[in-house]
Amino acid sequence: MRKQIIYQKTGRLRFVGHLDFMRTMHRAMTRAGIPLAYSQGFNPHPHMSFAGPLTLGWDGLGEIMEIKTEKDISDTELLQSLSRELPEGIRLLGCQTLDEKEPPIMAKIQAAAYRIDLPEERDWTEPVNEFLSQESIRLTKIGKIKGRKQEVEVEVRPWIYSWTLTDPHTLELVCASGSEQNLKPDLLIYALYRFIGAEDLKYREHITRCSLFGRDPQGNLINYSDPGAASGRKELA
Amino acid sequence: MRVNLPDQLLLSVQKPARYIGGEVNSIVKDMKDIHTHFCFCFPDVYDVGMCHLGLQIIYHDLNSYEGVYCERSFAPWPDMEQAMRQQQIPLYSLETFTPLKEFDFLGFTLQYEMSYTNILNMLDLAGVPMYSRDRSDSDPLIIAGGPNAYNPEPLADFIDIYYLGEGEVEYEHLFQLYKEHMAAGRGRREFLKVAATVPGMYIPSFYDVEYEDHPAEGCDHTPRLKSVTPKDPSIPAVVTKVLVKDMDSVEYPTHPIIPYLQIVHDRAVMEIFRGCIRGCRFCNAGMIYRPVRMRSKENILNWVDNVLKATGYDELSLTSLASNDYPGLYDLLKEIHTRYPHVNVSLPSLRVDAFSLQLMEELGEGKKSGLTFAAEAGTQRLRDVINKGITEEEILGGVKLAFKGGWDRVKLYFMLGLPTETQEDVFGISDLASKIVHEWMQIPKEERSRDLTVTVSTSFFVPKPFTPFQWCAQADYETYMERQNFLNSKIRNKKVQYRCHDAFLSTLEGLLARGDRRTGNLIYAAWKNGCRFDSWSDLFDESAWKKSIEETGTELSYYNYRERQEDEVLPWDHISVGVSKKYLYREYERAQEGIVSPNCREKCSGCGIMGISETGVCYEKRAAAGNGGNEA
Repeated sequence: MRKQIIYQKTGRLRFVGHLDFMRTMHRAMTRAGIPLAYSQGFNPHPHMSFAGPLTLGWDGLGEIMEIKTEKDISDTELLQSLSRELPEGIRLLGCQTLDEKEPPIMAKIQAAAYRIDLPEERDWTEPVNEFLSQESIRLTKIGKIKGRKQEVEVEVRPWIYSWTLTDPHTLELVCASGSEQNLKPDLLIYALYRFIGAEDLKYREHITRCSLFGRDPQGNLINYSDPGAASGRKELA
Repeated sequence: MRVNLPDQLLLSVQKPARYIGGEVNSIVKDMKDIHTHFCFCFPDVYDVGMCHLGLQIIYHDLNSYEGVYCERSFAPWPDMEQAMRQQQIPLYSLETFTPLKEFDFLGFTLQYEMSYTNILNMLDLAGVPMYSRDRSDSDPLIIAGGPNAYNPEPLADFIDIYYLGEGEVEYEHLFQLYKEHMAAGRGRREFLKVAATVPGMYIPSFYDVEYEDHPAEGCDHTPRLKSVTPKDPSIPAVVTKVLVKDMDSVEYPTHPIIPYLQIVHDRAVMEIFRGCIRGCRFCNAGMIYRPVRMRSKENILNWVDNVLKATGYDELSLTSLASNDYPGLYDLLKEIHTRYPHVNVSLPSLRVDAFSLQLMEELGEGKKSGLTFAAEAGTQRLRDVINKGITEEEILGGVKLAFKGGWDRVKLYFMLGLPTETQEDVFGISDLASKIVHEWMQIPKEERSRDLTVTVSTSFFVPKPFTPFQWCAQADYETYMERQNFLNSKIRNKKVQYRCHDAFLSTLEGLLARGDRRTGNLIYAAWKNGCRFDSWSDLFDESAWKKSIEETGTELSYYNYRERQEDEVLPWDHISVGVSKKYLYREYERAQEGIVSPNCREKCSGCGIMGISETGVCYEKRAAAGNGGNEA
C-alpha cells in the first residue's frame, strides 16, 4: 500500500542532515509498528522516498515523503502511531493513500516556496530590489559536465518565479526546485551578500521551505504540501 | 543559565547534530526535584562517545535514582572548540544546555590513555579550575572512573574523586551522602572526607606520595616511588574496587539513547557477561574485570524483546570479552533468530571453529563477512609466553572450514614488541599468513570463492598496570619500528596485505599507562602545547608531545624502558582490583618460562579475586563447568 505523508521538520531537527533524518524516520516507523515493505535482495532496504532533501539548517513546513507498506493500514492509524514515536521537531500534518500507478513525488516536484529571514540589523528593501531586478543573475554551483563534478556557472534569473519582501528583512520566494531545474535559495542569498559586499553575513539568514509544488497540464502550480487539498490527484485518476 | 548556540555557529561546524541533544530516549527532568546534578563527560567526540556502552548503562542507572539527574557532554571537535572559544561559549550539557560549571558532579570516563588531554581541555572549556587544589566550594566535584582509573596517579592532581569499580554499585550511596551533606551546608573538603568512607572511592589529595632520594638505576634524575600513604588514619591505605555481585539484579538500559548522527557502532548492545576466564598475560581487561559473571539467558532475551521495541534497531550486538565462553551461546542465538529473523546479530571476539562457523552461516543468511583471528603472536612459543590459548592447528583448521564455506576474507591481529620476542617470532607472523594462503590454494577451485584477501594488522605491545607484564621493559621506538620493517620486508605474498603504523603513539600510551603522580605535569604541558584528540592520527601532534616530554624532563628510560623489580612500589599499589600482586608476579615468571596457565573454568590459578566477592566463575559448581555447550 502506498502512503504519502506530509510533515514539518523544525527546531533542532534542522541540524540533522538528510541521511540521518531518513534513518531517524525509519527507526520511528519500526518502533511504531508500521508494516514497511522492504526491497528484495541481499541488502533489503525500506521503501521510503522523499520529495527532495532539505538542506541542513533549514526549516521545512510542508515536507513530503512516500512509503510502501506490506500490509494495509489506515491513514489515521498510521498518523497516530507514528506521531507517538517522533522526536520533538518532526510533526505530521497529513497522510493519504496513493494509487499504485501514481508517479513518485520526487518526479513531480518542480518548484518550492521559501521564506527567508535576512539578518535584522539592516533594511533589505533596496538591496533586494536592486539585486533581484537584474535581468540576469548568474551563480556558480557544483554541477556535472559530461558526468564529471565541477563548478559551473548557471543563469538562474528565469528560475525565480515570484518574490516579495513582506517586511524589510523577510523575503518570500517561489523558485524552481526539482531534478531538472533547481535553484538553491542559500546560493542566491550568498550572491546577494556578495552583491552588497557583506559576505560575512553568511549563515545569518534563516531559510524556511514552506511548500513544494508540481504543475498541472496547463502549467499552473499545484501545492503538494497542503494536506487538505486533493493536490490534483483526483483529476489524474 | 542556559547556553544559547547561534544558528550561524552550528552551521559553520561539521556535523552540528553532535551538539544539539534531544535524541530519542534522552531524558528530561524537572530541575526543581533534583538534589544531585551529574554530567557524564566523555573525553572524545560525540560519535565515538555515544558508542560507549558504559555511558548508556550509567546514564540510565543514575537517572533511575530519585532526585538525581544525569546529563551528557562530549569533547567538541576542534572546529567547534574554536568557535566556542571565539564566542566565549562555555562547555555545556546536551540535555538542558547547562554550563558544566553549574553541575554538582562532572564524571569523566577514562577509557584510553590518549584521551587524557581532552579531559583537561574539557575542564578548561567549562571554566572549571584544572587542578583539584584550585577548586572552591562553588565548583563541581570532578569524579573519574573506567578501566584506566585503576592507575589513577597520572591524573591525580586534576581529579577530586576516583570511583574504582563498576558504576552500578555505589553512586546511589554517594549521592545520598551528597544530598545530606549539602542540606547541612558543609563544604567541599568535608564532603571529600565523607566520600572517602564509601567503598571504591579514592581521593588522591588525601594521600602523601614520597620518592627515594636517588635516581633509579639507569636514569638521570627520576627517583623511584617510595610510598603512597594516607594523610589521616581514617582514610583507607588500599582502596579496593567495587563490583556487581549478580548481573541479573542490576538494571540494563532497554531504552538506550538513539543518536541522530550515524555513529561508529549504530546498534543495540547487550553485555552478555562481564570479565574473562582466559588470563592472557598482556590483557588489562582480562584482569580488572574479574571474576567472570554471567547474565542469564532469560534476562538477555527479555532485554532483546524490550530494546528492539524501544529503539527500532535492526542490528544487535552481544558483547563480552570472549563470546564463546558464554555457556549456551548457541541456544541463545537460535532463540533470538527465531524470534527476530530480520535482526542482524553480531558477536565480537568470536573464536573461529566448526561451531562458530555454523553459527555465522545460520545467522548471516548467506552474508560472508570477514573472519578475524586475534593470534597476537607469530609462534607457539610466544603465544605460550603471553598465555594466548590459540594454536596454529586451530587457526589453520578454522580457515580451512571457512574457505570451504565460501569465506574469502581473513583478518589477523598481532602485537609486536612482546616480552621475549625474537626475529623468529616476527617471521612467524608472515609465515602464518602464508600458511593460510596455502590452505586456500589446497581447496579445489570450484569449492572455494574466487579470490582471497588476508590482512595482517600489527599493533605494538604496551605493558599495562594490573597485568603480569606490568613489570616489563617496554620495547623502545627503534626496536618497534625495526620489527615492523622486518615484517614488512617478509610479507611478499600478493594475497596478504599488511597494515602497520608509527610506534610513537604506543610509546606515549605506555608512558601514561604506567605513569605516576609526576606524569600529570607532562599531560598538563601537552595540553598547554595544544595536544587534543591524541588518538586521532590526523590530529595527533607528535612534535608537541616531544616538546612537552623535554620541557617536563620526563624520562622514558624510567617510565618505559626499564624492567621493574619485584619489590618495587608501583604507582598503583594502593589500589586493589582484587587480583593479587603475588599472582601477577607468579604469572610473570611463568611467562618467562613459557608455561601456559589454565583458564578459570579448567582450573583456578588463585588470582585472589575470590577474596573480594563471593560471586562469578570462582563459585560456579565444578560440575557445571563441564557442559559449556559451546566447545563442539
